[in-house]
Amino acid sequence: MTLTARRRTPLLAAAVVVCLVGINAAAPGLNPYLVQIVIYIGINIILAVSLNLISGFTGQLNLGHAGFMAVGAYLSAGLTFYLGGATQHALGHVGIPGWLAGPIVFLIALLLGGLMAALCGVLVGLPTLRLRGDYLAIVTLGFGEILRTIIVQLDVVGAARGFSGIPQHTTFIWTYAWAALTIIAVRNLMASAHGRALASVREDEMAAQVMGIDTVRYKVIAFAIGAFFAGIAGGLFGHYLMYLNPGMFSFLRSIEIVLMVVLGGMGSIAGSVVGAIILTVLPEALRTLAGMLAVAYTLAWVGVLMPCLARPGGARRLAGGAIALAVVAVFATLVSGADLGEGSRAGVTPWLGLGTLVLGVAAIVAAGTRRGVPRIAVGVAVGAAFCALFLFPQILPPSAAAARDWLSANVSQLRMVIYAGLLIALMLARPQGILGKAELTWRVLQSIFPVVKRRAPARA
Amino acid sequence: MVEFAQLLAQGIAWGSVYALIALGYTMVYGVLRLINFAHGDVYMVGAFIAFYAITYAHAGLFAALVIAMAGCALLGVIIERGAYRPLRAHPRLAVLITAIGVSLFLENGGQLLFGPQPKPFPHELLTGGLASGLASASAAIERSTGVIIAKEQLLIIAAALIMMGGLQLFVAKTKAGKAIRAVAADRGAASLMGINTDTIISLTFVIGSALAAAAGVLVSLEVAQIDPIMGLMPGLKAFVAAVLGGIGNIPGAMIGGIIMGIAEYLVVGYISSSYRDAIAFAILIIILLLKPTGITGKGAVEKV
Repeated sequence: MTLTARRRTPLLAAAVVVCLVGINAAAPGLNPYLVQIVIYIGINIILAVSLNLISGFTGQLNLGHAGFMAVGAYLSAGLTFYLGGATQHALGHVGIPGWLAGPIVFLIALLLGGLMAALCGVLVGLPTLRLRGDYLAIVTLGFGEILRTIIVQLDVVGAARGFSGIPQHTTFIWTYAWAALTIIAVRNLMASAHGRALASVREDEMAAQVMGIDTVRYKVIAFAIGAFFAGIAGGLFGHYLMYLNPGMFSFLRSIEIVLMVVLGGMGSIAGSVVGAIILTVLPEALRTLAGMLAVAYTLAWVGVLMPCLARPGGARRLAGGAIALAVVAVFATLVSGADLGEGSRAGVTPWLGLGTLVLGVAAIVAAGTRRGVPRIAVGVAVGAAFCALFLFPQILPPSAAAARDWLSANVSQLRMVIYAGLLIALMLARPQGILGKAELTWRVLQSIFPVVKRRAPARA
Repeated sequence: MVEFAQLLAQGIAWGSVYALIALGYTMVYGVLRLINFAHGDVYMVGAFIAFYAITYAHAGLFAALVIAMAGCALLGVIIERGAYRPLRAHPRLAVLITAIGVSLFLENGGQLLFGPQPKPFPHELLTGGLASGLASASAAIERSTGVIIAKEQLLIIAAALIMMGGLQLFVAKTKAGKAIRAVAADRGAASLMGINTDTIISLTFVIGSALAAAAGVLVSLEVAQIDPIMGLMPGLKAFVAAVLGGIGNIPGAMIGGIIMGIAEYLVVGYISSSYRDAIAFAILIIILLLKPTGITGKGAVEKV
């Protein structure tokens, strides 16, 4: 049976909702470290997709996205901290039950934070009337730094000490609902006439003006919408961590978001999601030796997959390969992320090896190669070697074991060096970003997973 | 009035630090249109090379300066060949990302290699005829105007002026400088005129990185301590200064740097040190709104 678009969209939506609710219910029982990473992934997806609207789709380099995030984070946190209790109380008097009052207050605080950030977005967008390119980028950078410096002076939100005591409202479902909303909003905007106008600003501002497009207005709109979602992400972040510090929203945070967008592919929503996932998981994965090996293992799979992707038609499969690899990477690193104490290593690693092995094979099959058998053999060999490192350390020669122990001891210092090296290597390998401008549409999914049948073309 | 003059002098001295770093930024930007985020970290590496040359090889100040400049010139070429050249045909943002990657790599590699703790830089090395000359100049300034300015600061101001002048002369008068200007104006056309653009770009990195190293050594003499992330904030501010002056323009970098330095010190002196960065950036935004291509920038004519 084939599914037509009209039927499968509600089905997909229902499936996603069921998954979200299920994971949300299970979250308290899971490793809190893993839950935290997964929530950060969601927040970073919102940030990356919203920045992509400004930088990828509209072409305005923005080096101050963390500033918008800070505005949303601090305003919404301040609202729930100072007014949240009273508002919940007042809602109780109107007859709204307590379990509903909390989320209502949180939602209002989030929206107000987002709107305030959007207002800042308009302020930053207005100079686009006169400034272009790198000069505009510097203004966004300066604006972000100014916002941060102002927050450092605001005693009411803790100034440089940081703002603690924020109630925890953010859950898995809040985060991913907003992430989904961001993706849908940006996708629909870009598919609309307004979206075409935004893209025309990126492609050729002069030509767009000649065609009668008010380019300044559209740039300001892009900044406002992007900033709104960044503000929401900030609110979610503050209400998850229950603590905010101006140092969290420095220039480096903005750069991190730019990295996600460019790494995933400017102008690709799916790319931003992939970039957000990779750049959230990677620094965490590199914290332990097992995680580092998992990254190496994933990269080995990339090397194995690359030749298949280079074949004709490979570009379309690239998206599928990237997703499959992201799944491998997330799985491998999340499982190895559990490897925090010495004791847990033995129990976790076999599963890590086995799981990545299975997923890696699936990745190759998904990439749709018929000549993949020798590559699968390579992958299996890499997986076996990987497992051996942990499962049978006694077979290692003493020098290798010593190297492993040295790595284990110095892993935290090596972490960021390797992270930076990987970043450079990834950009050199895929200068246009992992997905380029490709999106994951039903058509692409069908070409990757032939299980979802394409409707047979009508024969003449 | 003396207070104002004092702040002005301190601002000019600190602005010269920005100017020294900004010169390299602006060179590279002019030729490649690339924000070389790693520039501030090359500055850090220069300081560390000099530190090790002085501590372990017992090099004098000038020998250490030369070693650091040579080392960083080499580093600059390696960075350009390894991380920037392969992406030259691609959108500028891709190179921007590798530049950030190189910057992170140098900062964290530095922490791994040199250790994260700040190290005392042997600033007592500034001796001999130059030092006594600078000291007497410093004393003369204090006697005549009441403004206190250290001899290291005078050295930085003088070095910034000399380097700016030298660079300007080099770019304006020599054949290689002419080639640099040609590549900056239009790389394709320069290539058609028989200029080896790859060599010229490498040359730009050699000069820019050597200047960064010199800045690193001179600033370390004044600040008297070095650490692996010392390049981060000055690098960012120097870049802002280069944009402020009109990026790609050599005297512009100097003007921008000094304006930033003076603005920061006036804010510290008359308002509050905690608003230092905010107001520096606010001034930047205002100047850019008035002069969208920087103070020395010419408005580009848009062709349809």
